[in-house]
Amino acid sequence: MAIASTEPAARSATRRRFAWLNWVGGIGFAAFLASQIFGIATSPPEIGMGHLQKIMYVHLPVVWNGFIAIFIVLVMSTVYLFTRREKHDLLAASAAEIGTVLIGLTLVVGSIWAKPTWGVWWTWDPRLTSTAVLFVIFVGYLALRAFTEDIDRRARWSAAVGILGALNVPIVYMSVRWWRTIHQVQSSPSTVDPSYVLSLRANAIAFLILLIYFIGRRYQAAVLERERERLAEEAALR
Amino acid sequence: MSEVGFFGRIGLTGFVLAAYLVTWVVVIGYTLYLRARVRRAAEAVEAETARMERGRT
Repeated sequence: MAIASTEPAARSATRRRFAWLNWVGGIGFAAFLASQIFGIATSPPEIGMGHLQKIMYVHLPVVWNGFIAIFIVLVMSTVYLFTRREKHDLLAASAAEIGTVLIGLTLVVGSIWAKPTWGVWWTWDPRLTSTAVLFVIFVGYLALRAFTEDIDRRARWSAAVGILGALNVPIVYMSVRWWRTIHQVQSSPSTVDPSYVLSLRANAIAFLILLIYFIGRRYQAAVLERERERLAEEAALR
Repeated sequence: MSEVGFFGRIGLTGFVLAAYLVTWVVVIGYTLYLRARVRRAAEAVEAETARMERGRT
């Protein structure tokens, strides 16, 4: 006699399909914690700003991974417009939500860093303003998806907004070179002091693992939500 | 003798501590939100499927 599981079918099916996410999440959290402890414990105070330099280990990984998430939106939205495959739309939507969270977090952590270094929480500097514009565009993207009921229309419109929104990323990135700004030029392992490079790389890679986990988990939710929409439509047509 | 303490010596005070705390709150909060969203969505699929099954019989 077959033993039936007490767990509902949809939940157990998606749980099996996305079981690898538990490992990715666990590794991501452990790596992020370890790389932060390593960065805090081994970084000497910076000449100009002292220990405030340590904010770099959260600020830069968060914004870099936010840009990666938005790049995924750009790629998936473009592919969706050519293929019209649901998977690409759901991946774009998943990456867009995480991109919005990370760009929002970038603004908050950047503001915490700005106060002791520039003396203000916020200033209408080109880098800060263009980042805020990017954030608002993707909040609009999420609102568009939330308020458009027709599945096809929602996918097409949000793909267009996602592509246009992602085109703002190069403007954010280059804003410190194109306009006069108090924000420092782009930081990377090649521009920071060698004593900070390893910690910066470790934190960035650890956050990249977390990004994969977030997008995977959000995609799992999107697949289930789409399934529910489809079932509801099917029931309504009967 | 200095009174800065352990966190002061490693530079994890004030604004630095705030930046790390905000990041961890967002990372953990968003993780919990995603897990709850997956669970809710799975329950909604189950409920919809059950409703359809009842409609058939």
